[in-house]
Amino acid sequence: MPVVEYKCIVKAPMEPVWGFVSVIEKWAPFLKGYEEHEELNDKESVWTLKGDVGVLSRTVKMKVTITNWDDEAKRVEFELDGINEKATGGGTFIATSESDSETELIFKLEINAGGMIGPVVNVLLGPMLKPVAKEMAEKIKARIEELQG
Amino acid sequence: MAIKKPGKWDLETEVLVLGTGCAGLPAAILAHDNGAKVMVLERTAKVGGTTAVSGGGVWVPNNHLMKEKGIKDSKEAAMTYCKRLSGGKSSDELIEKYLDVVPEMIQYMVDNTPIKFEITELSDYHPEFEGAHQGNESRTLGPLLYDTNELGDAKENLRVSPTMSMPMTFSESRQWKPTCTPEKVPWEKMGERLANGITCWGGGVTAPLYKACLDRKIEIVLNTRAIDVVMEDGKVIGVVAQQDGKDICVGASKGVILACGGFEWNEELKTDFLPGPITHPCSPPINEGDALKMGMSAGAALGNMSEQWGWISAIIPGEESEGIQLNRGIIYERSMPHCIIVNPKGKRFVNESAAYNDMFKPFWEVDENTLKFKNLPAWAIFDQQYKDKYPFLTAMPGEDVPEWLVQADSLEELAEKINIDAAGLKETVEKFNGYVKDNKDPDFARGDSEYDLYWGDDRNEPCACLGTLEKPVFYACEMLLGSLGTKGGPKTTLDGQVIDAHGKPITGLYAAGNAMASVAGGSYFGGGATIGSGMVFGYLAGIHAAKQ
Repeated sequence: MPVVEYKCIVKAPMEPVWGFVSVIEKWAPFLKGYEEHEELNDKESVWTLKGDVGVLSRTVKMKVTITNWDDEAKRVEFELDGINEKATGGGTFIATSESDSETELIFKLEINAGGMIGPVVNVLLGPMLKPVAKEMAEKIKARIEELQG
Repeated sequence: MAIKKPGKWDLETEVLVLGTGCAGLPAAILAHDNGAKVMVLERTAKVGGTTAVSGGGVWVPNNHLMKEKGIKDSKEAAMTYCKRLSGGKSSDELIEKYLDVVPEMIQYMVDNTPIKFEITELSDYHPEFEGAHQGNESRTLGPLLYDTNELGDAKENLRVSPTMSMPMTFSESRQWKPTCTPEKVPWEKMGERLANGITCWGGGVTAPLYKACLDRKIEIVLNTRAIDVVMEDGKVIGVVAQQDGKDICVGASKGVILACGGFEWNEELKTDFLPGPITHPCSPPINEGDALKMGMSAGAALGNMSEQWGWISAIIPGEESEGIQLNRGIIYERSMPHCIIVNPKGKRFVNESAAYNDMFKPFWEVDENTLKFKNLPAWAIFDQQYKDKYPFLTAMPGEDVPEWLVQADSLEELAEKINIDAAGLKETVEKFNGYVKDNKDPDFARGDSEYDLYWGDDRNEPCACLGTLEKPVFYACEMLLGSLGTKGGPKTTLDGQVIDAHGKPITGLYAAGNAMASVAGGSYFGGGATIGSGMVFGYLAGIHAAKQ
């Protein structure tokens, strides 16, 4: 199963960092290939993304379910379930205070393509995930730091 | 109008090859091996051209592997067959040259580059014609697996096919039959091969030939698009090319070889020359007639301009490659049991299992009263029996029905959804089901030729490509006008030299592959006749140019 974890240090205290990542609308457009998302309720949403698989690009609809939202531990866990493609997965967002002015942000994502040719798709997906995670985390970091002035 | 010689060349070489597909790479290799300094210009960032996205077969009558296996063949038999197919649209001399040189060319490539082949089980595309070969004596060679790590960092420059990237050989494909029994394919092994840089199909041709160029230190200049020829005293001495937003002049003292594809992605040229539309080409979107325009600029005589390597395609909306909608070739889907193709009247109009180039032709048939293409839009229709057993594009058997497939519980409802004549469709299916039970298709002879059976399901009794459509749910997918490439362009001598309107060679200008007036005329001899002819005339052009 392709897994990626990306860490970065945001030059901002915990509160504004967590305040930012807690509101999905604020960072959703930073996800590469993001087209739209629709919130079904406070835990479930449907995301439409244009994703790369090797030299192909396809529009994927995924249902995202928040399985754990812990404001105290500053941790969000979610599951992914493909609607128009056979894929499952999940991920976590964790924010950890490093100092009064720095917060570590960890983004972990795993996706497993299913179906008969899943093993092949996973090979193609693997190299695509890291740049996606990096780009999103770095954009979040940049935006928070910009907001902090 | 060609450009006049500039005061100073930006780049200079002896033989300049334009394009990096099956014609360009052999041209470069042979020009080098015959003593010339060679440079290759490639308009994109990737090496491989149309060949890289192809099946990679090469049609080689009388080849060395046939001899090793004791398979008898002769130039005379192949000549009889090719002449029957080309229907006079190609000269006997050009066909004879192809047949003389193709075994020698492939032996040279095997001996002098890392490329390797195996014999396939693919019959000629009209195995019932005199001089043709059946599948058990195939003239089509398939490339073997190739490790792209051999290329070092240059492997990143390889063009990768969006649809033919599964690294399996022809023989493995025949053994596992991904189109009939996808569950038998060792998909994890395929994944491992991909992860380890193993390629096959078209990549099994272009990657080792690219390596052969690198080994020879042939300079391949990427992202450089030749747009016109430079001429002096009636001789081609170089080209003008676009690079980094600027025009540069590249001198070629011995010759320029046009090997940069056809014009299937150029709307104006298609309208001017083809008798019907090609709306969804299956080649990379780079073949915009650059070679044709350069040939015309130099005063070339043109030939075979109304022809193309026909291939029906289909799309999965939203699926893109290189930033545009991907057109997927349709081949096994239409050949399987339980699937037919119908026109707006709900009528069959073609042998669905015939070879792709020839089964394309009725799609361009014009109604003499309405002056419209009578069979467009065309639809593949299949039933649940098909869906339960076989893949259709990326929809695998037993998996959910994707939203891009139209589905309905009855034929009438399906016809309504796709706006075709419901009564016509119902009548067609009833008639076809009767043909299946009789194991004979008197309308279109589907299943009569051995070729028709190759892409069918040989477990299906009594015929690999005939099966009823009777079990709901019924499905439909629009069949679109694809192409592997056009095959008209500058006419050439037997050595690949471009000739003018009076039949005189234009000194310094050569053409090969889809850039030249094809040796095949309007036909398709067998699997790999495209790549075979590209390689042969690239090979000949490279030798001839080097010796100037």
